[in-house]
Amino acid sequence: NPYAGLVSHLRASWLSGKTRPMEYRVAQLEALGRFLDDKKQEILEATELDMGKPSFEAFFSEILLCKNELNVTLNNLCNWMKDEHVDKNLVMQLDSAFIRKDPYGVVLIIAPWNYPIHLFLVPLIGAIAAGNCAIIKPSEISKNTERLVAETLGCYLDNDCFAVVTGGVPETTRLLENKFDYIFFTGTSCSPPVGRIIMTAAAKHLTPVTLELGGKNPCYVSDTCDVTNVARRVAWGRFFNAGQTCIAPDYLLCTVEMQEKLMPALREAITEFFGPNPRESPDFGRIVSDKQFKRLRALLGSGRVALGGQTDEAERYIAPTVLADVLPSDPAMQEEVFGPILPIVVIANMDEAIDFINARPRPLAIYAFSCDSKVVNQVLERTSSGGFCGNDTLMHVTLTSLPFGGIGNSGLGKYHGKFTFDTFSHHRGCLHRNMGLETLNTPRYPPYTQQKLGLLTSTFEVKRRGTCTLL
Amino acid sequence: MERMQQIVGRARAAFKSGRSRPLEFRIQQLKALERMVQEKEKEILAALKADLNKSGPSAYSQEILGVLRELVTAMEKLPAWAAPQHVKKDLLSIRDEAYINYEPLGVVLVIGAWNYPFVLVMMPLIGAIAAGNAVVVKPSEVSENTAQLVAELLPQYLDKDLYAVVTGGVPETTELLTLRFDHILYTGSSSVGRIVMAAAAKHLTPVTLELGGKSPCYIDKDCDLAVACRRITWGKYMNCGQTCIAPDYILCDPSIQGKVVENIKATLKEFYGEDVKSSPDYERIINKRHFKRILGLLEGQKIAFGGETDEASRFIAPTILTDVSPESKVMEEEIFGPVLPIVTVKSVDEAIEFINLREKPLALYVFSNNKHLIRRVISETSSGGMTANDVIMHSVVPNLPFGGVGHSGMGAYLGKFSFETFSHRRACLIKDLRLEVVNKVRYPPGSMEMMHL
Repeated sequence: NPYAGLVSHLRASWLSGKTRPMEYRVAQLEALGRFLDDKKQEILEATELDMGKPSFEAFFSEILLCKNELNVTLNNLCNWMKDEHVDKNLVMQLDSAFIRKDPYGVVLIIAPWNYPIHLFLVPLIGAIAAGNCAIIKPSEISKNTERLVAETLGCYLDNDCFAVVTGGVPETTRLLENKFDYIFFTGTSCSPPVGRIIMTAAAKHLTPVTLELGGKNPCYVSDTCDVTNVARRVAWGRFFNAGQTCIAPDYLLCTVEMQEKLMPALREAITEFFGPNPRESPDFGRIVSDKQFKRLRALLGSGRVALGGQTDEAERYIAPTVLADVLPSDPAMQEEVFGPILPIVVIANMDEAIDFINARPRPLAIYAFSCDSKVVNQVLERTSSGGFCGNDTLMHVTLTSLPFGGIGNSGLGKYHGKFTFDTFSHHRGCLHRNMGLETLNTPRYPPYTQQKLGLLTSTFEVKRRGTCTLL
Repeated sequence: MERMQQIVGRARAAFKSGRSRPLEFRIQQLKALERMVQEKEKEILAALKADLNKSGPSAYSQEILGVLRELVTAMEKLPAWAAPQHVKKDLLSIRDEAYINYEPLGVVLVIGAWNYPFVLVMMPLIGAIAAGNAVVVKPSEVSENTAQLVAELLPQYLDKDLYAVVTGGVPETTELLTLRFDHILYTGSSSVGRIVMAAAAKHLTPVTLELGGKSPCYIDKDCDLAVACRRITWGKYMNCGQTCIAPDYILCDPSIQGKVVENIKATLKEFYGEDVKSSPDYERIINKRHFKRILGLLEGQKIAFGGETDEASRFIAPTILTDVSPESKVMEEEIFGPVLPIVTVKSVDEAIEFINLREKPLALYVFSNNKHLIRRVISETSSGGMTANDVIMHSVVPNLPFGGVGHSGMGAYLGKFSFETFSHRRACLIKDLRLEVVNKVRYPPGSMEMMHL
């Protein structure tokens, strides 16, 4: 077991108690902030090398959003850590009943390649805030970022409590042989079914997990809508990071008339964003690997290419592409697209769209566009998904007060803001009783009598509030 | 197998119909459950007596009182629990609607245990119904009378398709676990907990595991020993020690070990009289297998009190062991019986170290007049829950979550925590389709100057 030494070293640090004082956690979190500030340029460069991530995007997702999470955490840590006192019943008035937030111990954070800093750092913020030690396993696919994290994170964080482990599938498999007190995984759910593999490994040690997976996020566009705005918001969400976003609108559902109306609006939005030749725009990314490039290129045969479709293998460039008249049986509808290709599937009406969505595994996000709020609400109420955004894409995950997570195949657990802190803490029910007043306890002791039972019932039960009839 | 697939399929179809979603429907089902408990009280108590020899008042206070309270709470609070929770917005979303929507998960599987066979299926069932799910209940086959009764009663009171009972043992449960559920709540042992989680992993099903462990009980020299020992005796020997949060073993200074034994002895006489075996309030071991298992733990031990057994009636007298070695068999596994080992430690530091060397327990107890010592023990250990200066009672405080950590489990339930466990908290952001100007900041072509807005 090649990682046993590392894990036991971290466990020893954990048992020493050094990660528990608030001052320690604040110091580590502030160090993470300095990491983001000092290494900003390196992060922008590494992610550009890894997937041609535009600096604007990298700043937004890898720096800005991370700093937001850091600040929300630092601003609120004191409150989050406090014991939560709870209401008590009559017999416990002199007692103290509260929920204590205990750290779990040594946690494992496994991150994917598409937002390679954000997706380990935001969970790590919560793990540190909650008082844990952590091993971070960045993705080997975004290898420049992996190297940056492995070489520099240790200069900022306490190396006795936080470590970075690099490697691919074999290394991760060996790592998972060890016992962790929590495992936080962001990645794919389908091929290979890594989410299931992680949870199965966790089951051996009874380790709780959060799995942030993916799926095909449907985007319904109703006939009553502002086509220009819809096209812009959908195009932004689809082509951000060249489509390599777990919450990107995966495919569009609309009527054949709306498909017709959307096309010129989408063309205009793409041109507005990336110019006449997106390949030359500094604001459009590239595909992370040859394997992913080839996979995406094969999807271009679905439906018909209405916009874009150009590719360049050497650069791993795929133009912002819209496929029209895609059939449910087409390749683009069999897997999560995860690229700059937007298939449009034509349906007759909203009910058909809802049935289409409900016939498929529950996705990480559902989007619905309409000027009619009733339509948006209908889609929301009649479907199920990790999260939902009406009349926009992606934005629901930028609000730190909303939980971010999946359901069913798209994942389990949630985080962001306080939810990350809660994810990495054990909420321990505590009751501190008075040693006196022993007579109050007599009804519960044997020998049992009906009289004692009556007393117990009257002190213990909750009575229905009577309905009050007014004249 | 087909029968089970049919049952689960029917539950899923019933869930998909949407009828479990309106709050009025859920409250109506909970009301029906309340009627069931009130109307069938005699039958429930009789089943508990047959399974575990629980006396009427004991069974009522342990298994019925809590259920009635949980039902009333759920019916009263459901509208508040289920209401969308609006959240704090930022500058960009100031004109938007941002809230968390509580939604049912789908079809929930509840697997009960045999020691509190009625309450351990009812409490999860109440929460699952309140959250709007369909539920499949699998009571423990070991407490067969209660299992049989639950299987008969639930369909008489509840919607038959939405809420189903499956009976059977290990083979049936194994088959059931191959099917897809949207949440599984399992109460039982850590070893089976692993099996349940591994089966759940195949479908990415979230789980709540209420497991067990050895719940330590540290008695400080500075405390009212008579009161402490009375409370410990109550929690240890109720249900003949077959309680997941019973104080499993005692840690105390060797100088008070003798007094602890004396006090517990005195309390036992007070509770059960001179002849424990003839007390109507003392339960029996559930079956021969557990009887033999517990007997085996007594081998080679110094029995300070008790030790009498009767295999025919599965009776084991309340027993205290002294000067127990940490390496002995009785200190390896959860006792789950009326045997109380005392392990001596020289200080609270030694006690804390002893506890931390072992798996995290479901409950932890400390008795002391010294508030600082209590605070230290809480802060330097981890456990599912804990009570200071009493035992068991943290599990009946209405707003405390009940659950384990590490090998003692994951997730929590009871009260509002049941509702949250069985709900999906869906993040919802509803924006205006107009007001595009606000979005222009984020669209390409981007420049770093725009970012600093």
